[in-house]
Amino acid sequence: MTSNGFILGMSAVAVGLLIGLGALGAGIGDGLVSSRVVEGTARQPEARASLLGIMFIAVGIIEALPIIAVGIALFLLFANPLVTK
Amino acid sequence: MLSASQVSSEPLVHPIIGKGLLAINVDTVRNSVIVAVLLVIIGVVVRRQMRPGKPDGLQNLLEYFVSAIRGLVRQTLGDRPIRILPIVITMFAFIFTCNLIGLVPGFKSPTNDVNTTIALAFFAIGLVHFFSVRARGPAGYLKHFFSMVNSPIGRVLLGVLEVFQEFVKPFTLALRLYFNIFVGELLLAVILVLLGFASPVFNGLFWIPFSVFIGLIQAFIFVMLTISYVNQGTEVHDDLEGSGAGAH
Repeated sequence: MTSNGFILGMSAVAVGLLIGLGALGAGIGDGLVSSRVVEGTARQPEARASLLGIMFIAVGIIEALPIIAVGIALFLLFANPLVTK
Repeated sequence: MLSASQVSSEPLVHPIIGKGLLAINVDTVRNSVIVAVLLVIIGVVVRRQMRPGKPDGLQNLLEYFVSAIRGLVRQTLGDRPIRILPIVITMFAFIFTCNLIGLVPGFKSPTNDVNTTIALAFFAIGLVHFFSVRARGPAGYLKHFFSMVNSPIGRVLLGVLEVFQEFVKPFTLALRLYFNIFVGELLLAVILVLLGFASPVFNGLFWIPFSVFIGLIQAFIFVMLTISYVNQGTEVHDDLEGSGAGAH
């Protein structure tokens, strides 16, 4: 087994972990935000518009983290900096 | 199945002139200039056929964005005398158009280049410090970092963290925007390989509308964070010893 092969295999594992754990965390975060927005809307239906705006901003900030993870994962997949050419 | 050679490396690679630190990413510069010219043209056209009181079409759309951001600025900064609105609207228009132009075939978003977003973020944070120094004066500006809590040792420790945070801010601001747009465009290419003939349907129905949405949200978040950083930086509270220190 060459060291490049080892690095590529480990990179594949890392890609799986990055995308999977990133999606897991962001999913939990999005769920918490959305559930609170639903609760808030049920309690105060007239606040729905402003709550939705705040929700989209919060979700956008949360979603940035898994997107960064996916970006690093894709770097590892398609332009792996560790592999020597 | 999916190999690196199948995916077009086009979104990853920028054609470069020059070497090292002086290298210029040609496509980024070209697309930035295109975006800027486009915005100026839109501005001139809308200005020419402006009908005050009876907005329609494009004017309506632009007025919606302007009033939304103006509302945000007023809501955040209150009636403090900080003239940040024009520059913030310009940043929003530029970032949003940059995010959208990457979805047009043949163009790439200038924001999918980390240089663009780092430059924008440094500009935004520079703005924050400029307004901060102007609102507090140089001495107050420096003292602010070390006035979080009351105990002296806590002040030093938290102050170091505060200063460190000032260095981290532009990078989080830049990387959030960069990776969102970059991954969006790269996934277009990946979907093309993974789904084959079905990819235009998937891209057209799902991914491109989602990318437009992401572009809007990210531009808005960038601007909103800039405004709230300016707000944090220009708060003048007379809490030299005591009560207001816990306000954060």
